Amino acid sequence: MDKEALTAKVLKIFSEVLPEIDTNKLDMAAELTATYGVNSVSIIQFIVGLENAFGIEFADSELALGLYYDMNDVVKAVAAKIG
Amino acid sequence: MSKKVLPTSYPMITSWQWHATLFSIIGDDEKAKNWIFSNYIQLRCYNIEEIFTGDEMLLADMMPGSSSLKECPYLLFSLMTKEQIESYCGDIITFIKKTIDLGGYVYGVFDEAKILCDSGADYKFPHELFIFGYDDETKQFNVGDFTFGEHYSYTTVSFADVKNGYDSISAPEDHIFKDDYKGRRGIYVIQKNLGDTYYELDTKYIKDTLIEYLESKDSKNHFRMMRNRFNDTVFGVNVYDAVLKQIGKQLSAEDPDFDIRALHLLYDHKVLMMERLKYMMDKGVLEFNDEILNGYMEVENTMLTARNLLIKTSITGNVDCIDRFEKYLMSAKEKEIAILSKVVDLL
Repeated sequence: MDKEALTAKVLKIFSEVLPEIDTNKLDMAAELTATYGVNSVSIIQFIVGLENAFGIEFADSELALGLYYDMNDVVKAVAAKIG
Repeated sequence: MSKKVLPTSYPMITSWQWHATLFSIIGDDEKAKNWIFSNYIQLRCYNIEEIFTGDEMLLADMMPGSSSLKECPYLLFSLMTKEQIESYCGDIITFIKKTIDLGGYVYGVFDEAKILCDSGADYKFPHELFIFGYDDETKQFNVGDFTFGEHYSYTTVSFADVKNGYDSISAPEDHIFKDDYKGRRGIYVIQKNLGDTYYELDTKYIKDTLIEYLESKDSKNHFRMMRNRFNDTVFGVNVYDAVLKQIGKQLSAEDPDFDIRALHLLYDHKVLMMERLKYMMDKGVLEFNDEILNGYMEVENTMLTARNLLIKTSITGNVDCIDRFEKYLMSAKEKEIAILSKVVDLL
């Protein structure tokens, strides 16, 4: 899967968790917490969605909100898992 | 039209509404940190009946618990009964606005079903609400609570909803007032008391309490002159075992319960302990030691992992993970005992 397709799939999952956010206008480098209101619960909802969509698994220690400053960090984490 | 919002800062720890309130008001104040970091060391837990559901729940907390609002020397604390409020101001809205005008924060039990739903809700949800501002133009109060999002947050609530929520609660339903002030309904008024230094960082008390924490000693004996009603309390590092047992019970229930509060409290305790260690090193009462800080960061991260695992479990429904909770909690406990024992030796 190329990076563009991967990013589009990640954003689709994100929009399911936080439907009030327009992912077409999402700034990939904007802080997830301050800009999009992602919190310690919604990041885990997002990760569970990514696990199901990509057939991957995040370690328990990878559920921490502080590990993902922006959407680029999330895409990188998924890319590392799907190889 | 009048408007006033008293200063707040998002609290370093949340866990319970009384902690979130105190830290919202004075958590950032340098002088108040001397009191904050001298306290909140000992942990305790006991089983109580959940106010909303009647189910048994494990109430874990950091001492001094909810008494902190009354006993913190950097706060001025007043009790106002419903009768006083009506006599002085006529109604709750006027009372809250006048209190805020005078620099007072308001804290009390409101029926938040009236706030979350509408005044026609056929159930009650009595919960503490922290009120710190108002705007006459929008007819809204600024409030802090856990009820309006997935975590502690500041938001606004209409004057009408606050009035309905206040009027709906009777004296027996006012759980913060009824225990200490039998048969009363009321509100707490809290002001800052930051003029001078009232409390120095108490290294001896920190050391003594750390020892009690590490040895799981019964700290409530220090307060028997004021209250002596709980007999089944677990203290100190034994709270890890009590929380683990509770999680096992919650997850193995026929209808699993994902109540995160005890685990989140344990995590907040580590966040605050980490800040305490840094503060003591910064103030020179504890020699700077990288090994202690890095080691304690591991404890904090392990408890964050455990808390997040319970959140994930609540989303996936996959409850087959008690062995992971045991691994996280017991490794955090062991590591914390080793590090804090070293801190005690150094103090």
